[in-house]
Amino acid sequence: MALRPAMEKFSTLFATLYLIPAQAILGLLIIFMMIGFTWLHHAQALHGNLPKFRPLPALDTLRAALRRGAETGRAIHLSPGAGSIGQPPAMAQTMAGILAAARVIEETALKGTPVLVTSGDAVAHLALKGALRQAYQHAGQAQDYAPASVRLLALEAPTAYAMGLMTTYSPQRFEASQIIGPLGPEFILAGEEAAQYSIPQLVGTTSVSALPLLFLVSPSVLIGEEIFATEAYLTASSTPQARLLTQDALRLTLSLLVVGGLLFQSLVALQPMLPFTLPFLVP
Amino acid sequence: MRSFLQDPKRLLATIIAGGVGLVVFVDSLGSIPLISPVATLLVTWTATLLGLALLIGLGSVIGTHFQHVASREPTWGYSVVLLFAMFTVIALGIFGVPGQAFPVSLSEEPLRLSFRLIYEPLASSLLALMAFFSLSAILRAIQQRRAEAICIILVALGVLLAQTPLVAGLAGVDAAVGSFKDYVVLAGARSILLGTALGTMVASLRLLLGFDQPYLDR
Repeated sequence: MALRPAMEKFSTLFATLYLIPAQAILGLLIIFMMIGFTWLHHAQALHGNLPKFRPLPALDTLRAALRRGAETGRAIHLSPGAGSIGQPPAMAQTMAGILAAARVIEETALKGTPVLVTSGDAVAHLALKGALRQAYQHAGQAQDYAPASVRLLALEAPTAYAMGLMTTYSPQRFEASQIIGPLGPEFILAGEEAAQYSIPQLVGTTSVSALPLLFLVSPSVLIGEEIFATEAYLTASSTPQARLLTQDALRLTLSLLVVGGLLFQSLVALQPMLPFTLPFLVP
Repeated sequence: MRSFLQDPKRLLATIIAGGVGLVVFVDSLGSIPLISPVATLLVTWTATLLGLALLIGLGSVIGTHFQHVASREPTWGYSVVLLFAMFTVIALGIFGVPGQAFPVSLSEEPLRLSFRLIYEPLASSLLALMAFFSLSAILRAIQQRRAEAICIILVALGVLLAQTPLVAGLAGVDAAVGSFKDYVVLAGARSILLGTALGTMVASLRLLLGFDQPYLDR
């Protein structure tokens, strides 16, 4: 008798689910899967149970510059590009650039290497200022914090940002320049300027129109999703490692779905030529 | 570091950030009577905060360039020009021009005139230099014998040649270029876009769930 109300509730739920479009259910399943992966990998990272990540040779340029910068005293330039946090298409890339810059700032604050941070967005400018101040405070070098080390070169104007970056490169020598974020073809102006001054550059973007130009100005290029992985390679902290694990798991799932779908479609196309009928292809 | 569940300050900040993000996210999926007004209010507050961030950024720019002028750095002349242009546009936007309607956005006169007469020609001229900067970069890449760069240069030259009338008229060239674009180029672009989308989704979800808290001190 106690089961009857439960069964009635289940039937109501099932009927309600039947009315929800299939795409919505699929979307919810994907979101729940992502949430499950996120929890699992966060716990895995906290316990230190991490796989060995493949090397990113592009980051060797930055690591070498960090080693040299403490001796030479030359500044390292950091930038999340000209993107805006308030604009959805460029927001994720700008955040990735800010997080990568923040990790480098932590290391330079500990080593006493000067930095110059530029941005093309007011919110990114404030975030980087905060990151620089925190880094110097945590390193016990609060007196070395210089707000003028963070500069706003332009606002939502990629061409103006590129020009501002060109003028930034000319007066002083930099040990290296890291620019990770939404970059467009106009970046060739600043990138080539840096190359002419022999400034080692680490550049990264997801823009397919800018990537070929980045390869012309620098051998150290992060392609597409590698910019989201950069933070995990620059620090031993568990949070970015967990993020990288989740990205890898989702990418693997997506790859399996694509390959599986390709095989299924191929079998459907080949079915008429086969001497037998595959049971799962029969409508 | 303590878990954020044991730290009231971090817990409260996480709940606020996650809750606000969730409300705006749900509203973006579809208009819901109870949630839409709240989401609209939150977005309005965000726009106001962005305006304040812009003012702070403006202050930073003014301070930096005033310092350049005061300390007579080698580029102090450019700083004077920048400050003059900045204050001129700000004055135009605040006070307008006598005899004309007060501008309420950047797309209205006289602000639009200043951008059309000064910024747009300058930007176009500088973008025209991209061809020469690209050529310089190509020559340097060839001198350094970098494999990826040389590969890109060869493909670019091939596509450029294929568009010339002499080569484009040959049989099969059009189809070959089309196949290259439809299969090789499109596949590569889609793979990058898929990876970007996955990275964006994961970063956003971790922010909403409170695993990443970039808004808090480490």
